[in-house]
Amino acid sequence: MTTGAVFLEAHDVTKRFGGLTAVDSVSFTMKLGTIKALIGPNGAGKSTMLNMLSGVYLPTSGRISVRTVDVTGQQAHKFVGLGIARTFQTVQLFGNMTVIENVVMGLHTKCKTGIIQSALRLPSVLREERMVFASAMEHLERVGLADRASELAVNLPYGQQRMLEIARAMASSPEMLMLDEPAAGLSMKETEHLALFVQEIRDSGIGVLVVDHDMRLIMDISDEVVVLDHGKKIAEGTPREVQTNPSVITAYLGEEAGDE
Amino acid sequence: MDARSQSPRYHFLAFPIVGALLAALPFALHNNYYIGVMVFIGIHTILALGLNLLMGYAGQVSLGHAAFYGIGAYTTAILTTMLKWPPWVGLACAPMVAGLAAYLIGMPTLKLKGHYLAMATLGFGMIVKILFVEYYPLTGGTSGMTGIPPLSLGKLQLVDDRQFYYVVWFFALMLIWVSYNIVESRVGRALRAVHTSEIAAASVGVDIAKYKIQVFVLSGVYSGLAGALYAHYIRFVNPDPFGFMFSIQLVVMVVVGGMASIWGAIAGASAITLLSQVLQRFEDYEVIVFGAILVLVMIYMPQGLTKSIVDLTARRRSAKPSKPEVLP
Ligand SMILES: Nc1ncnc2c1ncn2[C@@H]1O[C@H](COP(=O)(O)OP(=O)(O)O)[C@@H](O)[C@H]1O
Ligand SMILES: [Mg+2]
Repeated sequence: MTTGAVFLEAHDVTKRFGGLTAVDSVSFTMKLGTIKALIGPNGAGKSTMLNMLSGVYLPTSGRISVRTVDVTGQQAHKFVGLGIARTFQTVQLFGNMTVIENVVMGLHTKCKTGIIQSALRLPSVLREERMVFASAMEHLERVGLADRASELAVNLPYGQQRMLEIARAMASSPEMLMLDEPAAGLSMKETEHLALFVQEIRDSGIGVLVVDHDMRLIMDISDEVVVLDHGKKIAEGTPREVQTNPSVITAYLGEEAGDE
Repeated sequence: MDARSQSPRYHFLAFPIVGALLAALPFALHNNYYIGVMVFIGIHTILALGLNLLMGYAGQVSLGHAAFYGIGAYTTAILTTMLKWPPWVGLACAPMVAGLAAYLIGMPTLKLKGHYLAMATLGFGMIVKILFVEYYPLTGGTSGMTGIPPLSLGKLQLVDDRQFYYVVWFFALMLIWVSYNIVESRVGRALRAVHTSEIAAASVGVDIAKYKIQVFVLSGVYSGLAGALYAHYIRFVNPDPFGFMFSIQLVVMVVVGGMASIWGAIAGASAITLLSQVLQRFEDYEVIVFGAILVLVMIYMPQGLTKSIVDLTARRRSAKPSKPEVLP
């Protein structure tokens, strides 16, 4: 991994839902070892953008490339293999599984056991199980959830569920991590914790694309910011540049800056 | 603590216990009629296991599973009577042919989201039954096929109900073990993941369609084996047992036994097999009774018989010490 190398590119990406253009010809690049923030008012198209960058939605037009290879139209489950992991705006855990099993799911593509091997419970299967559970435990330790490993994921408090979702994404050892509103619903303390963790991830050379409403968090941790409004990219630059951009102030910061 | 699974080790303890009980049972049953019923419960357990994996773990319904059962039965019947292949070879080929049929149905339908499989299998079941009836030169039409040879072990021909009982339950227990292994593995976790959140499952790289197809093929394989066991037990096949009515009975077995419950397959198969013995003389009303059971179980015991009884006893036990507090 080379920090600063371009990992992912969006070229003129557009998504229409019927008559509504949720994302309108947006282009940007994602570098390794960089935190990029995607901000904008509610309904600006941020989640839709993330969904296209992870194969959940097919762009109506435009192209997405990873390491200069065109990946537009690839199925969602193939994106992990490309080095892209993500979390969701509404937490999507496997609630009926234990905390550690959730992280083990993040290691899914790293394992080989198929239906035949598992049916016969071959020694290789047991070896792989031991390996993934040990590895999952390390990921849980990183987010401070090791002591809750055997609880059901649904029983975790909300903030810990969000961290677990990140741990699951990190288990796939991605090159790029996409977080959709990771701080939503977190306490101040939890948000600080999150900020440190995201920076730690960035410092390990991973590119992070983070969508959030918490402006302070975004301005604190991001290296670059892209601003969307009504599906269009209206600004891009460092947090400072974006904060002083007049069109951003009217479109987005204006509404919220008043009460801060 | 072993955080690996929610299902404790008693699952593995259950094997020797249930195995020993099943091995001893024929000595307690003096009437051969009951041995025959137990053979059918074994065959139905295999069918329910396969359908349970599909319904409980892949979240798909098959309304034509009796067709795979029939394909298994006819495959070995044709191979052993017309081509004179050895019975064990017929028994081995039957699951493969049924599995292939499942693959051909599942491949186009399971790639689509939604319950297309239910509709596809419904149609498939009807077509297969018509083929059994109409393809006279191969299947003998409505009068069926006779002269299917029995299975044999060395010189010993397994013509006795008690012998066949052990053969059937050997396969049933083996498939319970296999199913349990699958459910408690990477594949089982992936299937459970798909059940809770397809979008999250895809985000960690689970190829949803692939697993659904694999499970469907596996359930076809189980059904094919059950059909072949049936054919070598009764040693006669005709189209009657492989129709829509039996497909529905299989669904009821799974629901009654409890979806996503491996041991529940035995419970569901036992309950419905015994019930259908009782109901046999009411022929036409059978459908209504099974429909009513399906509805009642879905409403009052959505977890199935096994889990409901376990929960009930657990509640009784935990309720006892608190009783004095409830009294005024
Ligand atoms: N699956 C969908 N079908 C129809 N419209 C959608 C869908 N997803 C998002 N939209 C619409 O697209 C616009 C952008 O939504 P979204 O990307 O969720 O915004 P953000 O995440 O920036 O708040 C909204 O107007 C939303 O209603
Ligand atoms: Mg959003």
